Amino acid sequence: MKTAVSIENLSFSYDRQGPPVIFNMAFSLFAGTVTAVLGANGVGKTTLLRLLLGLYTPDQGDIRFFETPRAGYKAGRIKQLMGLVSQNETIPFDLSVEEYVLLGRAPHLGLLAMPGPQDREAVRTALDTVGMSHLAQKAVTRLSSGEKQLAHVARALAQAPEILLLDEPCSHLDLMNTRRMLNLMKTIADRGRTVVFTTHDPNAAAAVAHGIMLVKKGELVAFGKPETVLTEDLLTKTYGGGVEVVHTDRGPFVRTM
Amino acid sequence: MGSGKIKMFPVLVFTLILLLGSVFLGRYPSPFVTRFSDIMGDSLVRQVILDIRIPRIIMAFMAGMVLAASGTVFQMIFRNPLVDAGFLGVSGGAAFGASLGIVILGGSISAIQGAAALFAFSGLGLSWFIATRIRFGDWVLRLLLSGIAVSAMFASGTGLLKYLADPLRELPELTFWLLGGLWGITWSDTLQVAAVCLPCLLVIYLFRWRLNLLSMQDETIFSLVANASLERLLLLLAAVLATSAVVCKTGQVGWVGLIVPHMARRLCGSDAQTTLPVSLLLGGFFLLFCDDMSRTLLSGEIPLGILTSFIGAGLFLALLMNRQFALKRG
Repeated sequence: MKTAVSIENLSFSYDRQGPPVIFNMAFSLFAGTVTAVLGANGVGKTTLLRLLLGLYTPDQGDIRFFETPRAGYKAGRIKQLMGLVSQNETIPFDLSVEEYVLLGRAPHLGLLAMPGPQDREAVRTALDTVGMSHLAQKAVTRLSSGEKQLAHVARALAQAPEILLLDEPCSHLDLMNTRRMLNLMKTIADRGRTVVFTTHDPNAAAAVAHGIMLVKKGELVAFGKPETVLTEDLLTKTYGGGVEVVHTDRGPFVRTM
Repeated sequence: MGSGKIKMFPVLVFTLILLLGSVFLGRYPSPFVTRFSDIMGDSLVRQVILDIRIPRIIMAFMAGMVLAASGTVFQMIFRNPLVDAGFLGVSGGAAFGASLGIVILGGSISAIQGAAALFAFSGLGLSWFIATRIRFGDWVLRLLLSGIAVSAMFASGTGLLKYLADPLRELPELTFWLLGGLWGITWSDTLQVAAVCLPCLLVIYLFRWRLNLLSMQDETIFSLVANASLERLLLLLAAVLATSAVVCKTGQVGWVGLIVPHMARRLCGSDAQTTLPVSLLLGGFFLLFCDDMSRTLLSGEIPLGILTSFIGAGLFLALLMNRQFALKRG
């Protein structure tokens, strides 16, 4: 299996004098896998995604995509390589779903080029994948939270990135939409893309992720398969206690005490 | 997008009718409509039309296009449908510059226009500089906040100059400039403004689809656009340059940049690929219509800014209250 992302010795702080938000992190992610980043609020999960995306420059450390250092990619190529669905993404004008998803094609278009039939085809495929073809002409601002979230994912899929970063994709979703989103991540990974998502729900992570990272105060507490990482010891170390793990036929199930 | 293009056609037809009809509107030789027989029979009428009316019509249309296009750019880049060139200190700077030209620099045309252009750009530069120094909020919020502060500073400066102005000689000129108008526009003025505005409008037109991208959140833009800051800067510079070139000649003409992009969005949806061309046409139509009224209704000129504000605010209220205009896509 190809290594899609590899991180060595990664540290970052917003303020050079302040404490690091990410400290000495190292891991590798295989292509075609789903990885969940778990941890309490404010431990650096979103910052980690932003560092991968290149929105922040690390204080130290090495980030490689497919064995090539980030600096080895041209700015335009990186935009084709990585997609992001950020938390609480808002759209100020009422573009239709189709017009919005079409924006994902930007990295594949020249500076002054307008989207063409090929791009519209990519949009149709992306909308098909997330099951929203019937809403293509609806204004994005009129979608429900769940539909909006799926539209964001469709936009990122139209971008056709090798690596897809999702920041708390299930945070505003009901039970069925959460299930839909998790299945979608699995489908995307089955097509050879690498998915990294942050979440507060260990059971959502267990349901879909090939690997789970536990993060505490910017440090990696553990990284491995769900059954090896979702243990009471490691979760207590990550969250500070009050966690019980029940082993079921379908894997570990985490609940608070 | 398809329906947007279909809706653009009637706008284009009405615009062409107004452009043509405006040639026949005026106060000479008789009020309101100039008859075809007058044009054919009187060389002075022909001269009035060729040397005064036509350059003014072109100027009004171009100014409307510029103000609407820059309004669209500002609203989309700042992700705020209530923004126009009045933010970022551009209009405030131009007004202050023109007041300075009238009261302190002797009041020559070149002094007024030069100072207006200089301070319009200073407004943008100052807003930009202060925004880089603010330590909180995202880029858009920082720029808007500093723009509001810079505009307020220029407004107080303009107020001071009004206070200092000679009430008999300078104050009426200053007031008339601040109210806006296209009286005395010549071919030379129109060509000068066109030389600056047309390239700027072309840049904005070519980047129109990317305006959609630049209206997204910072993180999303970053994940899709390789050099968003440069694209934003280019579009803002084009919008400010064109606006200041127009404002130098026309004075303060409010509401066009705010109301026209709204009308275009209500008519054709929010995709700037269609909205921008429709805004250009509607902006030209709106300002030309107001200017036709300004020079035709009374024997004296009605300041253009009064008409654009009055009609603009009325249209804005109608758009807000009329359910017929509500976007129906779902």
